[in-house]
Amino acid sequence: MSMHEPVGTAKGPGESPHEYTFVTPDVEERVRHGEFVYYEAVVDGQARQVVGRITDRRPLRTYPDVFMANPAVPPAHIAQMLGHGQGQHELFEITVRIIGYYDPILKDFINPRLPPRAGRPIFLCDDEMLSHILSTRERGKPGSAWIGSLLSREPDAVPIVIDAGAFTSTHLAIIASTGAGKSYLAGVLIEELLKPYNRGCVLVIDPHGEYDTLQEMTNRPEFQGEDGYRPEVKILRPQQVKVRISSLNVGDYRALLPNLTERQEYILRNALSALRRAHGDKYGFDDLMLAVREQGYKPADEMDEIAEEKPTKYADSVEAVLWRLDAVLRHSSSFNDYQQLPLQELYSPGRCTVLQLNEIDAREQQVIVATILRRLLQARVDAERGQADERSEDYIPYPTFTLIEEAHHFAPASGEVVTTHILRQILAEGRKFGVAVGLISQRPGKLDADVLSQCMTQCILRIVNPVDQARVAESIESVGRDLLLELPALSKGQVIIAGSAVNTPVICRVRRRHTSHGAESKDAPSIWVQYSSEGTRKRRERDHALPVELTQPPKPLGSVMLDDDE
Amino acid sequence: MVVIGKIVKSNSHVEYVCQVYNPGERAEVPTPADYAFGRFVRVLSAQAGQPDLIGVIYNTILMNPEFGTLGPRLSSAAELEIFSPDYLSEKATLVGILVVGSMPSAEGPAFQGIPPFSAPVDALVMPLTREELRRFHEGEAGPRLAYIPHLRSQAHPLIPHLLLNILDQVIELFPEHKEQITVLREGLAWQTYVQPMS
Repeated sequence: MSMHEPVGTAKGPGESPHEYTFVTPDVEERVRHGEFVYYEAVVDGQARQVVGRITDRRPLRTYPDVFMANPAVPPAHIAQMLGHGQGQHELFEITVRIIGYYDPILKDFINPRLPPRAGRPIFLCDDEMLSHILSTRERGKPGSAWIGSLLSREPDAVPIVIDAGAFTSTHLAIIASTGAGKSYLAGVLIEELLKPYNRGCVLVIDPHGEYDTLQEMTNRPEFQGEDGYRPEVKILRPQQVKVRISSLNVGDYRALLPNLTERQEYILRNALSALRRAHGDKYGFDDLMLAVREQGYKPADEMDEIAEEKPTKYADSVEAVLWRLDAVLRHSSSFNDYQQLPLQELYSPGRCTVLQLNEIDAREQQVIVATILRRLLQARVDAERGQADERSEDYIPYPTFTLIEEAHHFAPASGEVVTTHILRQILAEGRKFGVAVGLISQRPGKLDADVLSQCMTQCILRIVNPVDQARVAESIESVGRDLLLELPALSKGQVIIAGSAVNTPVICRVRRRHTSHGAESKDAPSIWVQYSSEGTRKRRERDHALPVELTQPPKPLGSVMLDDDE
Repeated sequence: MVVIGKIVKSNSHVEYVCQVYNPGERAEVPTPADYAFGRFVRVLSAQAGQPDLIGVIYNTILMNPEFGTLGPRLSSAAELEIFSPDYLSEKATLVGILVVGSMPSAEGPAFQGIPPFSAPVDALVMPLTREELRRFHEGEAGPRLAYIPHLRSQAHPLIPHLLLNILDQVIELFPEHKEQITVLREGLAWQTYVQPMS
């Protein structure tokens, strides 16, 4: 049995069948909230160390309130005056939620359903034991993602290495308030996916243009493989984001042209069907306009050369649709007749593509993301079923991971948008076809509950808003109530990781990024001060100075010339 | 030093009754201040080498056999003095003493708490001098009041007032630790004066 010193003594069962309590003097103050302890038990004839997490800590002996009446007089002095010696007096009752013993064959915790007997010693799990049982993978091995270290221990004492294979197949959610470090954590995850031992295929949907700094990965030594591998980072600027008009469906048009009437939608649907029948997916804006127009006018009699088209009862609606299509699509920089981002350009193993959408209208962003995800899922389904054309630019024979920032814009709780359906479909079916998504949101309360609950790995940073906390509690069952109580108390860079990528929920201190962070807040006061500093002011005056001839009074025009002396 | 009286009875291991000497019983008669409420006393040990018990007066009872005898007497007081002197001496002042520790009569450390031995009947009771009182309360790092919890556990309505009285005495003995003792006193004063009214 263990050679370690016990930290406490088992008192009895707790309130629920999976809890027990123990009593400890905790002289060295090591028995903290969230800390891991174990007791020893014989299960099926084998000595096992049954691990649990501390969920509550209540003092059993406290000073009377009156001892604390004067802040200048320590209560211990009063107790000493009353005859209590200098010795240790504090005693705590600790509640522990049983996780189970770790089975190295199953690589999982098994709850023996046997709380410790009263009087049994309780031990603190040491760093080595925790490193072994908390992380599903070994650091630096394929399928591993080193996120940071266990918060309750010294920095780097217990590394937390999560299963990259799990979250890149059963989806990921990163949820936090603004400034809690979700983009930073996303950066860490992308770095891990692009390390030589993972060589991930990642697309980042970046509505704020915060992920440029990932380009540093290409030249950093941490990412160089022995076989010459180095990750590729491709930043697609807003003006490079192209969507072919023929890839849009009725739902996309519904999003681009809000408040379509039923009749207008009917016209558009008929026009698109006619176009597909006639041209397949090779048609452009003019073809679309023509097809819509044809819905409102009967063609002229071919024999009668002077006859004109005859308007049908839909003509007015057709004109409205034409006008709206023209307003939205004719001058759009994103939608065009021929160009389209090939999926192979967006997704390739060993490459992180950052799709910057920061200058694009919110509705267009949704349509762009919807078309990409729709094409991706179709491409993966075709590839898995052996129906894909291997020479096609959309042939994707490998799993992909798409990280979506500001996910509440793409799957809002308040109603369906054009991306909601495809996201739900990917979250439900994507695992079978190797299409995974990571959703990042600062407002889980505004994120669709179904979408959130389908992400099987959750990274939750500080959340203060009670509505957001409630949404997390109702959508994410793998995080216990005790951990959710920690949410408002987490500091920047501290994250609760739960779900399929970890053996048990852990509170982790996120490691430092190899690349620099691109989403720092602006330090407004220092920028203001800098703006009015002497050097900046002079440079601004120099830059804005008019040429010398413009500063002179204008010379009179015409034949009359005045002498300067006059 | 004046002798207050002698132990005549005990109610428990720590609760004694002392009969105060009446005029004529001792050369030096104790004044009311010597056996006042809250006064610390020494109960002299009968055995050499055994420390004296230290107690505090927490109650006073007057014994008067005439109480309730409402009918007229045939004999006057002067006649009674001649014919039945015992009757007159049955009037007595009794004080209750709670033992809070022990202390050698000369040098030696004081003990606060429940002493293992008891006082014999007729043991003499003397008030503590100021120096003795300070010696009894001196701890390693300031005043020591280890008997307070024991006193609080006694079920007697005067105990809270007794404690306040004691704390006032100790504050006066240890002015340098006034702040520390006041914390206790204030808490107790609230519980004694204000809390019962809520």
